[in-house]
Amino acid sequence: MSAKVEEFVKEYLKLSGSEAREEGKCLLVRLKGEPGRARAITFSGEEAERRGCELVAVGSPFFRLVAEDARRRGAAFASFPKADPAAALARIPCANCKLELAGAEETRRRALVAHYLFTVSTTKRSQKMVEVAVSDSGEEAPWLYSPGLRPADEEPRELGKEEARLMLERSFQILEEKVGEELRELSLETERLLSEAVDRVQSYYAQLRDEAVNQAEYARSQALNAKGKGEAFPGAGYEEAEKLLAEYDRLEALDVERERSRYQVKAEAALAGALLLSYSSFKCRALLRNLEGSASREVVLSLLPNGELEKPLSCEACKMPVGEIHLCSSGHVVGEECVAKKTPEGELCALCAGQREGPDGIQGKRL
Amino acid sequence: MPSGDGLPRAFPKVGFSDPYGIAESLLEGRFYPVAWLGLCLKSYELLNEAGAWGLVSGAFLGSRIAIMPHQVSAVLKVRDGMEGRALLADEVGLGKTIEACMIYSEYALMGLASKVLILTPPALTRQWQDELRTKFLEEFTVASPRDPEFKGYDKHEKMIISMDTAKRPGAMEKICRTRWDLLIVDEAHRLKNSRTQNYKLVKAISSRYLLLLTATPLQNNLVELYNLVDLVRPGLLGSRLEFESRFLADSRGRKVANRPALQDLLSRVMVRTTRKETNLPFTERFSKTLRIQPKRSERELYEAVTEYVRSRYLALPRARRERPAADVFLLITLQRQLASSTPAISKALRRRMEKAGPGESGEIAKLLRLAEASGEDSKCRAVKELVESTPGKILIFTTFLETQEYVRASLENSGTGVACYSGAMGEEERQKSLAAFREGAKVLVCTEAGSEGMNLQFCNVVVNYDLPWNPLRVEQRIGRVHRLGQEKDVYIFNLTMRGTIEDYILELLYEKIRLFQLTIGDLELILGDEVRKIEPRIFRSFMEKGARGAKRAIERMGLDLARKRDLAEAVKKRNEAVLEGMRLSPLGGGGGE
Repeated sequence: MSAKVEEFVKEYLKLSGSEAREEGKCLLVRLKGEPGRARAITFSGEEAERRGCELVAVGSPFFRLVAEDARRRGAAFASFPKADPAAALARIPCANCKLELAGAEETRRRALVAHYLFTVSTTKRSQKMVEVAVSDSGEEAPWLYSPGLRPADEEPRELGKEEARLMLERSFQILEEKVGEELRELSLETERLLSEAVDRVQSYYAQLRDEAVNQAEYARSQALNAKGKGEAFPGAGYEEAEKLLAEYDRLEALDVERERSRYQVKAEAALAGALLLSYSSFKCRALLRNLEGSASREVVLSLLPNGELEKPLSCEACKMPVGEIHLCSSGHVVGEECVAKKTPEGELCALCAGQREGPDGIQGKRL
Repeated sequence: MPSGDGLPRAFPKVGFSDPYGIAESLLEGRFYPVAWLGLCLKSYELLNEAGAWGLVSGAFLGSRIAIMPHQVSAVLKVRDGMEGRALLADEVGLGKTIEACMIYSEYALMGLASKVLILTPPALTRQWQDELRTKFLEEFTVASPRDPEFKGYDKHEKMIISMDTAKRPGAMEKICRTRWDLLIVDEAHRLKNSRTQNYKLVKAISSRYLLLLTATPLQNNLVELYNLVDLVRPGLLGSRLEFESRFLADSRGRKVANRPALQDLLSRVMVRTTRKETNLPFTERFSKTLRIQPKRSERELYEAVTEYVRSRYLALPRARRERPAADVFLLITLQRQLASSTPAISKALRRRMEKAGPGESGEIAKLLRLAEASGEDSKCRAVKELVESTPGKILIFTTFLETQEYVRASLENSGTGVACYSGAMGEEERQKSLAAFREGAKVLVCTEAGSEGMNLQFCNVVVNYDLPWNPLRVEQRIGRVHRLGQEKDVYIFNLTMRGTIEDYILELLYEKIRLFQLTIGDLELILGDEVRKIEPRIFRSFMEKGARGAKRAIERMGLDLARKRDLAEAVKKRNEAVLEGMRLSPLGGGGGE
C-alpha cells in the first residue's frame, strides 16, 4: 500500500510542478501552492518515527491535501489519433473474400467517459468507481472501455457545451441502469434487516406493555380488595402503569423511527472525473470480392479510432455479428454459422438455401 | 442532475453529487491534462483499498500510535459485525479511547461520520481533545460557552461535551435535535441507572453509530449492564423483567443464570478484552520520593513568597475566594512556581512587579532579592546526582518553562546530554528533540503542555522535578512511559522540599491512594469529577488555615480518594466475576453475528 501511495504522491509532485528532493528515505518537498513552506515527508512508518518526518499514508493530512487537489482536476479533454481506414479494413478477417477500401468520409465526433464514485450506504457502506462511456448519439460506447486506448491531450476547438451536458445526463442514466439490480438486491436485504429490527423493538415494547398492564391489573385488584375491607389504597401503581403505557408508545415510535433511519439505503453517485473526447469516425465504403471473382458487394462500415467497427458487420442470414466474413456466390454476406447448409443442390449459404426452399424458389448458387 | 424517466422504482433513487466541481469544469471548458484525471481516479482507488490490518486508516494510524492486535480486532468487529453500535468494555489500560477513535477514523475516512459527538465526564473533555488532535490529527471543539471558539451546541460538526454541560437547558434540546452520525460516551458506567438524567440524555440523542466506553459495565448489579445494552440495541435483552427472570441468579443481581445465552446476546453488542487475553506485558511501577531539606535561604524565600501570596489572597472578596476566579488561579500558579524553581518564581515576580503599584513593588523587590540570594536550588543539585547515578534514559517533568530551561542548563553544564520538549516548540522542533532523545541524549526535560501524544516506551525512568497538585496530571506524566508496549518496570522519582505544600500532597494524598503503584487506567475509575476542585480546595485551606489546616484538608481528601479506590477495586472484581468466562474478546473469536 505504501508503495502505491508513494507512486501517487510522486506523480502528483511531478504534475503539479512542485519541488521535491530525496534525502535517504525522506522527501523534502515544497508544494507549488505553498512556496514558503518546506516539508519533510516519508512513506515509511519507521522513518517517520526515527527522523520525525511527516508520514504520508492514506488518511494522513498530506495525503488528504494532495488527493483533494488532484480531485479538483478531474476534467480533461483529449482526442484520439485518426485511424487509417485502409489498414483497419485489412485487419478485418475475411474467409473467402477480400475487402477493399472504395472511399472514406470523415466525421468529427464527441464522446464522454464519466467516472462516478458510486456509494451505497445503509449501516455499512460500499463504494466503487463506475465508468460510463457515452457517445454523442447518446448510446453507450463500449469501445471506450478498452484499456489499450490512449487519447492525447488536446485543446478543445469548440466546447459543444450543450452536447457535453446531454452526454453527462445520459451517462448518469446509464449509470442508474448499471447499478439498478445491485440496488434492488441491497434494498431487499435492508428491508429484511429493518423488519427484524422493527420486530425486535415492537416485541420489546409489547412485552413492556404487557408488564405494565399486569402491574395495573394487580394495582386495581389491590385497590378493590382494600376498598372491600374499607381500607385506604392510594392506587398509585395503576396511574403509574398508565403513564408508562403512554411513555412506551412514545418511545416505541421513536425507536422504530430510529431503526428506519438507520436501515435506509442511500445511493449516491459523485462525479469523480470526466473525459471529453474528440475523435474521427470514418464512414468507409468497402468492396467485398470473393476470391473466385464470382461475386462482389459494396458495404458501408463505420470505423472507430481504435480501428474497430462501430457496429460489426452482421450476417445477412441470422443477423448476428460476423466474426469472419464469407461472401457467397450470390453476393450474400454471411458468418461462419450460416456459411453452408446442405441442400439437394449441394452446399448453399443459409440465405440461398432459404430462398431455394421458399415458395418462389429460385435457383441457388453454390458457395 | 436529472435522472428521472418517470418510471416507478423498486429501488432507491441514485443521488447525484459533484463535490469537486467536475461537471462545472466540463461545461465551462476548464480542462486539465489527461494525466491529472488518472491521478484523480487513483486517489479514490487508494482510499478504497484497505490498508494495514484491513483498516482503511491502518497505515496512517499505525505510524502515529502503537496499535495493539486486540484494538484492531475490536475495531473490525464493531465496524463489520456490530453495525457500529457497541459497548466497548475492555479492562482498564487496554486503550478503549484509542479503539473508539480508530472506529471514528474508519467511519470518517469512509465518509460515514461527519457529525460526531463525544460525551465525557467534565475532567476528560480536554484529554479527549488532545488525544484526537495529537494522535489522530482531528480537530474537535470542546463545547464550552465561555470559549470564544465555541459557536453553539448545534454549530459544530465534531464536538466534545461534558455530560453536565450537555444536560443544561438550551444545550440538551439542540443536541437532541441534531442527527449525529456517531455518538461516543466515555465512562458509560455513569449511565447505569435508567432513571437518571445522564441516561435519559443519551437515550434522547439520535445517532447512527453509538459507542459506549466503560471498563466496568456493571457497578453493583447486572441490571446496569442491561441498561447499557438497551441503549445500544433496545430490546436485544428483552424487557427488564424478562431479563431479570432469565439471567439473574440472585436477587442482588450479582450472579448470572443462563450464562451461555447471555454471552451469545452480549457478544452481538459488546467487546471486552481482558489483560490476560492480550498476552501483553504489563509492567510494575516503583516510586521513590526524595524529600530535600531546604537551605536556610530557600526556606526564607518560600515563607516570604507564601506570605505575600496569602496577603493577596486574603485581600480578595470572600465570594471570589469561594468560587475561585482568575485571580485566585494566578495566585495558585505563583505558589506552584515557588515550589518549582527559583528562576520560575523570579520571572513570575518580575512580571508582577511591572504591573504593581509603588507599595507592592517594594514588597516584590524584597522577594526578588531573596530569590537572587538563594543560590543554586537544592532540588537541582539532587537531580544532577540522580541523573549521574541512574543508568538509561530519564524523562524529567517540570511544570514551567523557566524551570525546564534551568534544569537543562544545569545538567548540560555538568556534562549530561539533554533534549527539551515543550508546548512552546513547533512540531518540527519537537520531533527533532524526540529524535535526539531517542538517539543520543540521556535526559529529556519536558513540560506537561507538550507531553500529550508522546510515545516514550523506550525510557522507563520518570522524574517529577516539581509535583502537580492534581493526581490526574501526575498520572498523565507517568503515562508517557508506563503504557501499553512498555517492557520494563517503571521507576518514578519525586522531588519535593520538606515543609512545602507539595510535600504534604505527596505524603497525605498521593501515597494514600497509592498513586504511584496504580495500574494503567485505574485512576480514571477512582477519580470522579471532584478532581477539578482539588487544586482550589488545597490552596484555600493553605491560605486560610496555614500549613496545619492544609495538611488536615489534604488528609481528608486522601482518605476520601482512598475510599474511592477501594470501591473501584471492588467494582473491578465484581465485573471480573460476572463476566469471567464469557467469550467477548474479538481476539478469542467469541460469538457475534
